[in-house]
Amino acid sequence: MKRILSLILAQIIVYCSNTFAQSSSQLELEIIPIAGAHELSSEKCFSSAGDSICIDVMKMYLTGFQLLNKGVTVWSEMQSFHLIDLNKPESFALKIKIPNQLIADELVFNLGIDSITSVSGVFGADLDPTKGMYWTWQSGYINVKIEGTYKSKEGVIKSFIYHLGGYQQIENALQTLKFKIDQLNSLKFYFDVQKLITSEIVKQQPNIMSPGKEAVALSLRTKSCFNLAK
Amino acid sequence: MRLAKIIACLIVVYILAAFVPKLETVFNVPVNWPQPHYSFERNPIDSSKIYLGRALFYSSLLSRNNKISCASCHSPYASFAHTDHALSHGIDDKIGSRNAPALVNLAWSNSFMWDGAINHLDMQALFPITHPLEMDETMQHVVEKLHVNRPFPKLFYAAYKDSSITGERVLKSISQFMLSLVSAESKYDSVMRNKSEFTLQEKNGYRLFKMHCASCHAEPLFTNYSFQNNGLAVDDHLQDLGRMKVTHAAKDSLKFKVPTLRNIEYTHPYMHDGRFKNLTQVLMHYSSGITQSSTLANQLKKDGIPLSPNERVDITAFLLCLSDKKFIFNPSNDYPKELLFDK
Repeated sequence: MKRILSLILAQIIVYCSNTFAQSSSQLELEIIPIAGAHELSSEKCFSSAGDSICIDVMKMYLTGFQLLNKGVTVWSEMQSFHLIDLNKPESFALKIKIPNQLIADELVFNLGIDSITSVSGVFGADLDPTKGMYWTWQSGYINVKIEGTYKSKEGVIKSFIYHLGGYQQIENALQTLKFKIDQLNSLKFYFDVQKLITSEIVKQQPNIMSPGKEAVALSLRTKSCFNLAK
Repeated sequence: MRLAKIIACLIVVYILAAFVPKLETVFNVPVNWPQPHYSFERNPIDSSKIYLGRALFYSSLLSRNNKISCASCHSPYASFAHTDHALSHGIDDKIGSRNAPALVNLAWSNSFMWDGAINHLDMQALFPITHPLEMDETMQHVVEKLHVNRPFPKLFYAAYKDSSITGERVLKSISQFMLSLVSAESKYDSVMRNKSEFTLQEKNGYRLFKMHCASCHAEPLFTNYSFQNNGLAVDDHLQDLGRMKVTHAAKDSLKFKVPTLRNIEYTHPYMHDGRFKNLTQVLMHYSSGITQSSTLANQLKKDGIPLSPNERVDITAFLLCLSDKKFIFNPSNDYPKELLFDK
């Protein structure tokens, strides 16, 4: 009897899911990595104050997508965790299901993982620890991971590693971004890595790999890297 | 019309859901114990997952050279601590910086490691798996190895009803096994349940324990899970500042997690750096070896805990009542030998 009821329940859930699915549309988001005025080249190198900077790894979490209308949240994505990875171009295109006929004038999302998720144990999909975005020596996700090499005009070569994260109180490195929008079909964002990684920053502090004020300070700069394409 | 359909669906789902059998759990909270801290909602206890977790716990595939398993430093016969080494003995004979703690009653723990660096049991195993002095492996490679090594594909299928092996599943399964390590069958427990009696010496030891030790080693778990500076002199070589490394706060300097005393008979050597080989040395430290410092636990500020030699012996007699032989020699916690013959 219980088995039959379980089967009936499953059928009804499928039917209801389809009903819901029919009433949703898709918001396409594209992130375009750039360095200044140029798209980030296939070698992923750019110049900064005459020096050369090459990016080997660039991963970050975009999370907590919400749509607002006149300041009021009208939609929030469930399980909203998207890992974008420079070495996986397909990860830069997000297709997010939203309800049909939604009216919204603002998009909000986070750069990083919220503190509740950070203390709630292990998760799968983009949050799976195999993605290399979870600190193992001290709990917490790495919100933004950027690694590469720097070559000065004089030929000095140096590597840099930025693992930006931290979820506790003053060490919370999560950044919230808000953009005014005028349509809900497709949105393009530029992520200008040159606003985050400069020869000056690499020379001053080539490694930030744990939560703290340095990670928070550099994380604040990531906000200015995102720009909505007109 | 569509809205009406949706509402009707939801009502029917709600009614039918009441008839669907709930998942059977096998996690029993011992009588008079508090509710566990671990939230089972995202990882409901299941015997096939415990078994998978046990196989993973004893598997050397979790290490870079396939020679070290969790059990290498956490032996069931030492209440899942390590009696041979003061500091963890890891891969390629490397030595770590802390004493491997007992793994017992972890469902009640709200943080892990001596300094609380790990905030959730599910994430705990990541630390030793990836630490260069312990197992020096990556989770990506662990998952790859498990895909192609018997008996794991079969065990994952049995536990999760599909053959997918992910980092999430590996860690949740190890958690399942660790959650199953509940020790609540000591003589102390038997006395508390009125099924046994302390001897006069044990009774006096219990009285002294409650007077001098129980504020941190609180019953029934024999820890209050706080971080305390218990007056150990800083080891010149290790220079371990404990909790401060995690919080970056001076108030946490030299503080370490209060360990459980359950099965303490089996978990020597003692302290975060394994500096004391036996309980006599531990009690001597508390009675005459306290190093004063600004973060020292209040209970120890007045020259520690004054104990006569007889009192130290009585407290030791009580501490031996926390041994749970049923747990220590439970074959369900042991290496799953039958997997050696798995075809």
